[in-house]
Amino acid sequence: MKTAYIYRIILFCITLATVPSLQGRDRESLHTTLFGIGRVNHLDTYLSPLEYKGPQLTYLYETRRTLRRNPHILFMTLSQGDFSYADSPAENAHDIGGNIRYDAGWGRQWTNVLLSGLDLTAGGMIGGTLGFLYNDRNGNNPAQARANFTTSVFVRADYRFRIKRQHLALHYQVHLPLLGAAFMPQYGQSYYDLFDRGHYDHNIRATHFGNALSLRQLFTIDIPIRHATLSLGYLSDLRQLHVNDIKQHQYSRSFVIGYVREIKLMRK
Amino acid sequence: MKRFLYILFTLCTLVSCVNEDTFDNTPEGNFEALWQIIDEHYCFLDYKAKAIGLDWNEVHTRYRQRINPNMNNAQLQEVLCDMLSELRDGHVNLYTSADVSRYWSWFEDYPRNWTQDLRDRYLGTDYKIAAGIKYRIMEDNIGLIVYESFSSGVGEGNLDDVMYYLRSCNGLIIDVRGNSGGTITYAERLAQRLTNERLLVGYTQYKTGRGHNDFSTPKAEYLEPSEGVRWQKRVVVLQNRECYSACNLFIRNAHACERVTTLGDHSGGGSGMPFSSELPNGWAVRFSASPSFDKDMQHIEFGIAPDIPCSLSEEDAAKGIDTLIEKAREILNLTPTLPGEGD
Repeated sequence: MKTAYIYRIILFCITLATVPSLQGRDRESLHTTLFGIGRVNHLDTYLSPLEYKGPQLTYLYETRRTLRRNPHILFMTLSQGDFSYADSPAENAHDIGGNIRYDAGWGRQWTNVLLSGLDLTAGGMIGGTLGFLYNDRNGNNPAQARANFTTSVFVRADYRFRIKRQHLALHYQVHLPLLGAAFMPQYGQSYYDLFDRGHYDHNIRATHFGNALSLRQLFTIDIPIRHATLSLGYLSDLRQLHVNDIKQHQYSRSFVIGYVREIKLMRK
Repeated sequence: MKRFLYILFTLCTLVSCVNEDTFDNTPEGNFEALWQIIDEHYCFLDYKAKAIGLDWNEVHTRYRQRINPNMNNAQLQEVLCDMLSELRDGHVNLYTSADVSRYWSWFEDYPRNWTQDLRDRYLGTDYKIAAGIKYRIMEDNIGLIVYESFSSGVGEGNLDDVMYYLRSCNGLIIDVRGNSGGTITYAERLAQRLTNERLLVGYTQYKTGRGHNDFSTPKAEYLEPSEGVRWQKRVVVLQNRECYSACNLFIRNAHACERVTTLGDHSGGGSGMPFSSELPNGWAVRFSASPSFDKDMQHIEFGIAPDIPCSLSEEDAAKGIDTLIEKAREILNLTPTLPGEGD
């Protein structure tokens, strides 16, 4: 009796989900999960005038789908997390860093541009980053918080092709932050002064090309293997900031590997 | 579309790197790196130019002559330490694997005005310990608090218990001689027990750029009365040349309290909050980065004078008497409350 009742509920749910999809065209949402390992080069003159270098682990999760009302508009999200452990040039001090970053935006997509299977997309995104960089040797300036909001433009190219019977897809995307805002203590201001004494002093600064020129590029190739799709690629993430006379950069380059999932979106 | 891509490509090629000047890991490079760190970050260059005639550019010229490419680490450290000593700042250190270069003349060149043996005689063996505080009630009903280092913490609960225990005393001696600083929070926490009012105790600044005079607008610092048990009678704070950094700030804050009298020698000073940096060879450097001032916007980098100067006499010390504690007891026994206050 109970089993039959559950069966009816499941059947009802399937009916609700299926009937609308039968009334229109299904859409695909592509979800790419990537894990990266690479090298990072840190500079933060609030902590040290020297560049620290070391390994970095990266996680990337990208979703993209076209809009129902306009299949030429692509909606894309990109979540990124990274963790690094870097050494000073003399290798007697260390930085531990971590960031989480999320961007979402829309782009105009042109399909089959120049050659069959090549799609180009250009658009804008908004997003933000939260992170930290900790130096294990410093006293009253041991760490630096990272927080920013950015609006950026992106361009991506997706090329589907076939070698013999093997379907492949190449993806390249580049993100360029345009305008935003970022947190930064003043040149010689301690976090004790900022948070314990509550002395706010232009600690949220506008960012633009001139003081925060950054660039993120991701190149991947998708290789379907049976029912799964393997994704391999290269991530170059160059972030810079120069405000309140403090200079920061985080240059990372990573090899990425992951998988792609296609999710059918049903609609009325 | 093509136009957009062209613009984007042009912008990408214009990406300029945010980098810092780099120096070679050579004696010359490390010397220049250290000189530049101090030149751009140290907060007292302008003040000390006026106060002690420090000319940092002249220091560069003079010490650069002592650098040669073949010198070893010990020789390099000696020259760099000598150069940093020109700053006359106990918050400036150069850390190597073999040694810590320091400037300690701010207390080594003066009488200590206390000894551990003498203080131990006054504490006896039955004193109480509340976190970083040692305390007891002396025979003449004067409370004695000894806070040896603000690196040792003290909680609000500890201070409530200490103040409550000492509540029946006629006066209180807070002995911070030999306390070379630590955490500012603990120093403030103790001073907050000595006032019933919110008091302006000083100002603070920090650097806003690399120039010697690039400073923020001074921000007032207030001492908030504690919400716990507060001391309502007179207090004598014992200070000496070893009172430095956070202890110097404690003396500044206590000095602003109406019931507090300071007694002893000048405090050591050290009013710049230290930051850290490093040289290409991995040596760490510590330096003063943001100055604090007293309530009259005067520098306290070279210490704070006591209300009542007093030195430890050799005769007293030979008899097992601490001149400063005895003087403080005399003051407190004569006038345990301020004029106009009932007892």
